[in-house]
Amino acid sequence: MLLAACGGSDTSDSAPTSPASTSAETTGGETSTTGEDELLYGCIEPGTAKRLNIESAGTELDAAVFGEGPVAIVLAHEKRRLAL
Amino acid sequence: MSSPTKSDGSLCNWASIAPAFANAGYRVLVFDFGQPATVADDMHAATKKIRELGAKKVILGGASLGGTVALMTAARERNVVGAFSLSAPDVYGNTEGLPAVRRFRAPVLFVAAEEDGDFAEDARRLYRAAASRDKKLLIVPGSQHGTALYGGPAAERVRAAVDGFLEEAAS
Repeated sequence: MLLAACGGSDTSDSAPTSPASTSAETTGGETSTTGEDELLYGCIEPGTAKRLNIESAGTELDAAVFGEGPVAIVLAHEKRRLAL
Repeated sequence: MSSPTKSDGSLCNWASIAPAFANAGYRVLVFDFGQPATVADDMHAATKKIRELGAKKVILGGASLGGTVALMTAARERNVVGAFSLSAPDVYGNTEGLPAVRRFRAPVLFVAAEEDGDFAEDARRLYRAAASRDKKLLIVPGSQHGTALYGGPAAERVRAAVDGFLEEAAS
């Protein structure tokens, strides 16, 4: 049973932020940024990923998709909580 | 029982890693968890979304708690062709990795740092319990945790292990 804080260092130095205030347009469920220079979500280089939202349990989750292709990887992040 | 969230990670944990996966030919989805109680629902929703976007094969990965959630989701979802975890606890709050790895039959990889608290032992426990015939365990020196393993002294070994695993799972 884990009793310690779970989490760790963020490999990006950027603090998580709210979605960048880029204008966007939706295409087939994906939302493309419109060439803004701002980092997407404060950490993703412009032009490297498409922004999208995922609905889960009544909440809209921030998300981004990098690349194309038939094989996908879904990545879940650290979440720091204390398990007592 | 878990205490309220103190300080959460975010999709930004993967921001410096995901582009390399994309450059290798994968479509990569990163997302923010919502509430602590809904992490499994969130991972399910993310997996569903990437299928809607056209993915034919899906590999799930995660760091720390996200790793445990990835393993749990892999065991529940159909057609997940592989799963990997970085510093995943075997048990964490209401998330449990051991029952999941006992069910999951596709390739699986567990990575942790030797001096990262109990996480190396958790990785060994998950590895021993895993039912997959294609299971791998990598314990590296150091104390890096989760995605920080990509920035530690064993970063190249971690990168090579994950890249090799992805290639094998995707084939």
